[in-house]
Amino acid sequence: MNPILHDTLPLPFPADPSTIIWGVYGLVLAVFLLITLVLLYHWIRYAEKRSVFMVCLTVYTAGSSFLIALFTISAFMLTAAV
Amino acid sequence: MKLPLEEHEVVLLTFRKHWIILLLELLPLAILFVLPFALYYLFQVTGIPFGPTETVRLEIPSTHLFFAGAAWSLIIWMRVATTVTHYYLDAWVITSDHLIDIEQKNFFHRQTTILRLDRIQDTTVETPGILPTLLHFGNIHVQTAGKEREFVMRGIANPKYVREVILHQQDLLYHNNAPVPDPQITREFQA
Repeated sequence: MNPILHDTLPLPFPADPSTIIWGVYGLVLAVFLLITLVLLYHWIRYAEKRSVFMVCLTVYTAGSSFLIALFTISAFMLTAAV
Repeated sequence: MKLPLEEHEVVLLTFRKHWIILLLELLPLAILFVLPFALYYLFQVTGIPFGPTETVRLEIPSTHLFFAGAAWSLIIWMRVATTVTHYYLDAWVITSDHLIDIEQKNFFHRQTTILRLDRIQDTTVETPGILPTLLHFGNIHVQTAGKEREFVMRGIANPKYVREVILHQQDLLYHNNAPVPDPQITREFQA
C-alpha cells in the first residue's frame, strides 16, 4: 500500500486486507443468522405437519453447513494469500 | 398452522400454487447465481473492450474468486430458502364451512381471509395459456355476496378439482340448512 496515499486519505475503515475479509465474512454470517432465525420462526409457527418442518430443517441445515464450510475455508485461504 | 376453526368444523382440503410457479420464481435466482461466474469466464476468455481496438484480460486470483463465489452462493441459498418458505406459507384451505386464504405477503405481513362457503355465489375456473393447460393449473374466481365481491386464487394446481370440492361442500351445506318440508302441506299439495 502507498504510505503517502494512506496518510493523506485516511479510509473510514481499517485498510488491513485480513480485517476486510473477516469483516465481510462476519457481515454475511450475521445476515445468514438473522434470516435463519426468521425462517425457523415461520416453520415452527406455521408448518402444517411436523414432518414438513423436519424436512425443511434437514435440507436447510445440510445446504447451509456445506456453504458455510466453503465460505470459511475460502476466507482462511484468502487471508493466507494476501 | 393454527386455523381459526369452529368446534364442529373440519379441514377438507389444503392446497397451494402449482409447483411450476415456484420453479418460475426460482429461475431468476438460478440465473443470478450463474451470472457472475459466466461473466467472469467470458471476460477472461474474450477480454474487456478497452479503447477502439484493445482489450484487457480480466485476471483475478483464484483465492479471491473462491471467497467471492462462496459468499455469493450463501446469499443465493438464503434467497432460495425464503422463496420456498413463502411458497409454502401461501395456502388455501377449504373447511366444511369456510374457504380460508392465507397470503404471506412478506415475512412480517401475513393476511388471512375467511369466506363463508354459503356466501359464495359463483366460481369460475380460468386456464390462461398453453402452459397452464398442459400442466393443469389456473385461477379460480370466486364471487361472493360479501363486501369484497370477487376473490381470486391464482396459479393453483388442479383448479377444476378444487372447484368441485367447493361446490360439493356448498351443496351439502345447502341441504343441511334447507327447511324441512311440512308433511301436512306436502300431502295437500300431492292430493
